[in-house]
Amino acid sequence: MISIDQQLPPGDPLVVLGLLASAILFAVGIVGFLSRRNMITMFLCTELMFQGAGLAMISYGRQHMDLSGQVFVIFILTVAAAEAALALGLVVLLYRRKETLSAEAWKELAES
Amino acid sequence: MIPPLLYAASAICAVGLFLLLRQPTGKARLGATILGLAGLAWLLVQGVQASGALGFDPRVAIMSLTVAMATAAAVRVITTTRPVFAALYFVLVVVAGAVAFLVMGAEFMAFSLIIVYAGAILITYMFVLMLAQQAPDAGGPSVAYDRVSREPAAAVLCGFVLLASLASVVDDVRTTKQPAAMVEARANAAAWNRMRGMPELVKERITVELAAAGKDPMGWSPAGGLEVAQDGRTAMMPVTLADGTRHETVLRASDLPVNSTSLGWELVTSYPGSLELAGVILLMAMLGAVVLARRQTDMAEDDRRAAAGLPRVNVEDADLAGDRT
Repeated sequence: MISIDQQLPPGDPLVVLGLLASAILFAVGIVGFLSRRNMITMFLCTELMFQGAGLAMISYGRQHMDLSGQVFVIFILTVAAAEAALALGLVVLLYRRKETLSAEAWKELAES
Repeated sequence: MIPPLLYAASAICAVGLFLLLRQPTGKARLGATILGLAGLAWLLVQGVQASGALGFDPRVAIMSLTVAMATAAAVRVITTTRPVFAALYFVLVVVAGAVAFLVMGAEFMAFSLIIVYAGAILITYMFVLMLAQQAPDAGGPSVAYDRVSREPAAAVLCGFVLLASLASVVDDVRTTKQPAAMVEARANAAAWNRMRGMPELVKERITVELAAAGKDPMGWSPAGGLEVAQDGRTAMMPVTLADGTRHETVLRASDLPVNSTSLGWELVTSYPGSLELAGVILLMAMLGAVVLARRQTDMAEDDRRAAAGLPRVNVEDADLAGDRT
């Protein structure tokens, strides 16, 4: 198995590290989204996941020496900005209704 | 990467993060941090080994430090008990991400990441944190729901199964890699093609080349198109000099447009539709935010009418305002 490995051309360690970082950021983001109870922190965790996705785009762009990866990061930034504006507007609205940021307060999505 | 070792490293990271999510103090916290960092270091070392790179490269060292910094800051984002600190640690994640972008040669995106994320999005988060901040309760400098994580074990299990499966594709980076010369030749061909569309840039570069070759850089005119060499590293362009002689100007890869120029070109030539759509998405987000905030304005207007002795016009909102009080 090792001999086959050595016949392959060496990969770019920067690409590997970038992909690992993107996987780690995405995983930490999802752990945070599932385990935090503050709505603002939960949305920060989605931003962490956006960061991970962007890093993966840049890494694969470098692997294939193609600019499309970087172009896609521009669109990821756009979507992240739109998401932040809408989600934070919703958070402020929800906070005004119940005076708490805890996601548990909205366990039952019904008018009370 | 060898899968069992990869899973072991992920599991160590997972245990470290799980212990940190339980908000330990003192030595327990130090131990959990060291455990998590050890798992991370093992993961990174496996990654560099799997890439088959030989020898020491300072860029790899910078990148490893950046990855460690981003991970540590990301873990602080999800373990800190105060949302303001979480937002500030997220700025650190963004800065580390921008450094990684820079190391990987995406200069334009690195700086726009800092401007858009650290400059704009995080300021929005800070505003919302100020608008919707609850006073800390008796248990410490934070509120109760920030101190206790919800189901940390299940969340960590979910996250790190994902990490292990995502990291196992890292192997493909090597096995599916095409010969470097081929990738470079294709990328250079695309870059020269982009340069053909930028006549002003070609003119500038040729003037510089002519001056460097000791020819008269003024008053020349092109006598043909840009001919790219087989390996894509150089390109020739015949020009007629001011004194009427012909000269073959050689442009090298260092004359190719820089990252931001090529990125802008790629964006408007290959993805014009997506660019328009991105504009529409931003416009819709703005409209959505206005609609979300609108009810408050209506009530204020209605209250103002009532205060001025005019009849209320928005009955529904008046009812809602009554509910709220």
